[in-house]
Amino acid sequence: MDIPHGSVIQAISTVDPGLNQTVSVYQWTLDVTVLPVNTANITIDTLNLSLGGHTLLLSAQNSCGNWGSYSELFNIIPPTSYAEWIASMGGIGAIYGNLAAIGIIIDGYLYNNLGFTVTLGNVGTTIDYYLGLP
Amino acid sequence: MALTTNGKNYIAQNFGISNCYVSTGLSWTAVGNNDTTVNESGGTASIVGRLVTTSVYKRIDLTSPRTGSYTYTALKQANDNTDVDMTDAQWIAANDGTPIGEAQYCSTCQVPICSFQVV
Repeated sequence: MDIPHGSVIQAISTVDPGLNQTVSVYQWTLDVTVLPVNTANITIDTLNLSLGGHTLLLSAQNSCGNWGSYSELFNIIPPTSYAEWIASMGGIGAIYGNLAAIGIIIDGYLYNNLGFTVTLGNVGTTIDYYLGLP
Repeated sequence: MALTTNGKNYIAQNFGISNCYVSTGLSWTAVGNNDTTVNESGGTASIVGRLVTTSVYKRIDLTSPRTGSYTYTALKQANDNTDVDMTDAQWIAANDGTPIGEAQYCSTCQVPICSFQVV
């Protein structure tokens, strides 16, 4: 499946035990948050998560010792503009105090590695967002 | 936080209005290391935030309300040769009087008295 940069998707496995998986796309990697749930009084005791390439693989073991697994293939669509990059970072508010974000946009400006052209103005705007300025 | 009193005052006198840090009211041309330029406006912290980003910015040319070219080298020199970084820009943003009720840093000596010399 194709998912835009910064999008949040939810996939619900049909295997036992039931899992809810929330996947956030961040840059070229996937930050994955897994939310174990109780389904039919089955508690997930063990949860393994791995991300190789663009494949999300989850496996879990419930309190009865049963294992379940779920996997899905993702194609990451990179941001195509500065606005999309801001959105993929979590919005303007997520830039505030986020020194790493400044580093990312500087690298994008210097090395053109973000998939879109970063302007000098974009760098300045990001600095202002970092500082929380109007 | 590496700003010295001299550094704080230099910033207020050169990147402030009436010798005080501000969040708006300044206009400048940012000049990149590759000589790319962009016209911008904002306040004191914005200018310092750009100057400390030496990997990108060569200098800031203030255009309003005062004019002049400023570099990180000059800023550091005014700060008693101590490096200035983004955390200092954060401190300035927290002391520019915005929002209302926030502290506003003003130079502890006033131009031109600061530069007055007895000969």
